[in-house]
Amino acid sequence: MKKLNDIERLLKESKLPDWDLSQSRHEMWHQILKKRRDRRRLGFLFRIRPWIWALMSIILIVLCFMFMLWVTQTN
Amino acid sequence: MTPENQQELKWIQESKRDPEAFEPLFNKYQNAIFNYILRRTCREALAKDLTASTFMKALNNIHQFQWRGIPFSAWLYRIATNEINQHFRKHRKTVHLTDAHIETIQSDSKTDDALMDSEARTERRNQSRKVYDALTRLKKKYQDVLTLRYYEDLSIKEIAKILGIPENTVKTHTRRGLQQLKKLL
Repeated sequence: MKKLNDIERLLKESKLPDWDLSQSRHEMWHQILKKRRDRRRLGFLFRIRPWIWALMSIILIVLCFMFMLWVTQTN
Repeated sequence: MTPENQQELKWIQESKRDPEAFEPLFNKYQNAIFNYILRRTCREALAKDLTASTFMKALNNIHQFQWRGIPFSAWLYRIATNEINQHFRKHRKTVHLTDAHIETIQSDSKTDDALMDSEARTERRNQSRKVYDALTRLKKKYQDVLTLRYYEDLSIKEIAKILGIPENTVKTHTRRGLQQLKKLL
């Protein structure tokens, strides 16, 4: 029957070794800067929350539907 | 405040004015955050993506960071933990650690594992896989605490700051997480 100390030891021993990412550090940093610049260019679009996009889509669909109804009625 | 903290604070203040001044902070913590995410996800490419998005969020929200005795590293770990949990919420597939993953991680690391004989290495891999699979079956709050405690070697106090919970809650989660792991192993 394992004790909690044994479980702690197992956890520590199962730790996967560290990986050195310093070689691709420069590349990752520049990717981050680039994404940030792209995001600023498209500025306000990223600040709109997903639920607002969903609501706008629903409103657009409803307006299109109403327009279709109006067109069919006038014809 | 230690000289190291003072230097960090200086970089943080400069980053608020100029994003490129964030680079020393990125260089300092990139490996630690990447390895934390890699141990949680066991996917190199995913860990790189989540590391990049962690630092991206940190940079975009640097103006919100205030020095209130919580180290900058704790804030980064919090963002990284949220990124990991968000990823697992979107992609509910359970991750299983395979030999291929262990090979990938161990092949590029400076570790004594490379010097082990094949039997010892196989034994260690089997153990890692078993423990990891059991860990991924725990609730996220226990995984967070156990990985920060035993894989990142952080103290209870540091974990409490990272997760924004009381120290007693960290101790409770640690104890309950270990008890659940005991049942699974």
